[in-house]
This record gives sequence, structure tokens and C-alpha cells, in this order.
Amino acid sequence: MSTKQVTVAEKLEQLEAVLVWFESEEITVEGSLIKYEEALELSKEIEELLKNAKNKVEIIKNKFEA
Amino acid sequence: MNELSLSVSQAIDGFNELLDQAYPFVIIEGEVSSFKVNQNKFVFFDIKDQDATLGCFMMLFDLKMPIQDGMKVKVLATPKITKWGKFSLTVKSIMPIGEGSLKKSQDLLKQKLENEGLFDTSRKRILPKIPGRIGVVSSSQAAGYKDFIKIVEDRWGGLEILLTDITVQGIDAPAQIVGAIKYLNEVANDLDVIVVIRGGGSADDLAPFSNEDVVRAIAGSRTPTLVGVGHEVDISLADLVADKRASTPSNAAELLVPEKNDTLSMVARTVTTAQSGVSAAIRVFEEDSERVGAEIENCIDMFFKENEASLLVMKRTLIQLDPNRVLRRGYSLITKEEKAIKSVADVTIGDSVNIKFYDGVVKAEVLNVN
Repeated sequence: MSTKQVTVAEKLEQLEAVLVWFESEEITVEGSLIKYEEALELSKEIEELLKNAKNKVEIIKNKFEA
Repeated sequence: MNELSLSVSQAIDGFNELLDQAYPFVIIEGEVSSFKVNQNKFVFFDIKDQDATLGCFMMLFDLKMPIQDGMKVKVLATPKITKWGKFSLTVKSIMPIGEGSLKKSQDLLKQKLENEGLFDTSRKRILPKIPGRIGVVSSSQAAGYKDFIKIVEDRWGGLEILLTDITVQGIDAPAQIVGAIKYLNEVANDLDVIVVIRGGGSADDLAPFSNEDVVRAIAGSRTPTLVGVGHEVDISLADLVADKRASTPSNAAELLVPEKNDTLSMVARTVTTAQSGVSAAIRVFEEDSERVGAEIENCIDMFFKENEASLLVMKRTLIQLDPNRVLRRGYSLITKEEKAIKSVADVTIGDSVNIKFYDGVVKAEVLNVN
């Protein structure tokens, strides 16, 4: 798996975890501020990666045989 | 004329050599008749048209699709004269052609594979939400592949795509599809998903995707598979066995990766939710603070009220106990050396005592004790 894609996928998972945290019942002001900062940082990184990442296609021309 | 004298075997070998040079292989179309399998190993049948018939032989393991008498087929074969002097085609592969024959063959194969459980939903694996490395089995020239790549490009970035560039129709296609799937699983390992795609075509064009070897290769793929072959109405056996079926190559691209803009909107929504979460936490904190403050105030009030009552009781008690009140009623308090005299036993004759009245003190001497 490519590092870049792992990063995007992982960052999206981290962001999802932040969302789940906010949906929990026991949130504190201090905790919510930390999580908000985290969400903001993650969103910037994801946006950056998604806007700039290019796909790479490699064509393999072997003589494929069963 | 030079006479060339050959043994029968030499003659047959010579003819076969010539045949091999002239026709290393031939592709012949015709209708199957007298189809039979001997010793569960050898397959014999005739292939014919209106005017002629050719005998065919093949090994059972080369037979990848069910064949019956009356089916129209295309065979890839080597012509040969047997040692019994019979002209025969040694068939390497056979494929039903024409919609009716294909459908019949595919239905028979489908039933067989279904009985083996190859299409069971319990076998289906979930594709990764966002794949990183993708193996593609298709032709770089196929319109379906081009559609697929275009849509993937529009939807997502940063992917590594490995295309095994093969032929996706014709008699060679099944072996190449199987080889490509094997390659992607064994050589180009670490893939997140293998996508098998081909655009629309006739029933004959799509036939390789219902070939038994192809279906088994997809079923046996270590890497999860996504198959998108033909148009929406075309359902190949490869579609049925795949972990995920796409109706077309374009749909395969849509199922494979999320839409970048949808993801960015979701990210933005998450940040908004986080903002609302912070506001809600602050609001809850303020409400809690107000409630706690009111409770503390209440407690202080209660404390003072409770103490006020106690003080009143104490005050009343003290008033009741005030010795001056008693003295005012005509009683007096006698002390000797600042100690109250409570009994005649506390004094002796001649002691000097103080007699306290409510309005003053009289000094006195004990003259008699009874």
C-alpha cells in the first residue's frame, strides 16, 4: 500500500474517531478544544493531500499465461 | 522419377511435419456432434458444418466450458494424422459461440460452480474503503479500461495502478486473464484490490469471463476482486464469483474509490461538528457552573439560617441561665476566695465570705455553722 494513500486513509480514520468522540456523552471543554484542534489539523492535511496527489499507472506487458 | 520409399510410420511422421509447418494451429468453427468422454480423461467429438466433418480429440483438463452435442463452437487445434491413419484435430481449447450455445454452456457451468459454493455470499470479502495499490486486468486499448481510468482520475488521487495489458476477447483471452490474475497475486503482491474490467460486446466477446479457469482464478485470488464486465444487463460468471460486482467498468471505478469532493465535504462537516461540539461543551460547562454556584449560595444561606436558629436557642438558654436574673428575684451568691459556696460544709467559723446581690457585694464573716 502506498505511503501517501495510507496517510489519507489513516487520517480519515483519525478524523472519524474525532467525530465519534464528539458524539460520546462525556465531553469536557478542555478535551473538546484539543479534539477540535486535531480535527482542524487533519482536515487541512487531508485537503492538501487530496488536491495535490496524482495517480500513477504502470502498464505491464508480460506474456501472461495460465 | 525418383522413387521415395517410406515406411508407414515415416510417411505419417513426414505428413505431420508438413502439417505442423503449414498449420501450427488452426481455429475452426462448427457444430459439435458425437461428444463423449472416455476414462474420465480423454474427450472425443466431431465438429461439422453442412458438408463436412472433422474428428477431434482433447484432454479433459483442457475442457473449460461444458460442451454438448448441437452446440456451435470455436476450437483452437493442431491438425494431425494418427498412427492409425486417421486425420484428427488435437484441440487445445474450445469455446462455445453464438448466444444459444454460450448460454447453454454457461448455465451448465454456473450450476456446477454454484453446487461447489463458489458464488456463496459468505465467500465475499469487503473491499478496502480507500485502496492504495490497484491491479487491473484489462486491455490498455479497451474502451472500458479508458472509461475506468478517466473516472478514477476524476474521483481520487495518489493511487498506484498496475495494468496487466492483455487481450480481453477471443480464444487466447481466458489463459491471459488467468495468467494476469496469477501475476498480480504472486509477483505484484501487496495490492489492495484486483479489478477485472472489459467494456460491452457480443456474447462471444464476453465469453472468456464465463470460462471455468477464469472463474476459478477469481475465486482463488488472494487479493479481493472487483469485476465489471460488459453493460449493465450482461452478467458473466466472473461477475458472480467476484467479491464485488460492478455493472460496468465505469461503475467499477465508482465502487473502487470515493469521490474526492464528497470526502472533502465530509471532512468540512466533521470540522463543523467539532466546532459545535466545543460550543456545546462550553454551554454545558456554563450551565453546570451556574447550577453549582446557585447550589453553593443556597448552602451558605442554609448554613446561616441554621446557625441563626441555634444562636437564638443558645441566647435564650443563656438568658435563662443568667445569675443576675436569679439575684434580682432576692437570691444572693456567696463566694469564698472566688469559689461559690454551695454547702455549709464549704465554710468554717471565722471565714471571710463575699455575698453578691444583684446590685452589689457585701463582705461578711461566718459566725456560726449549724
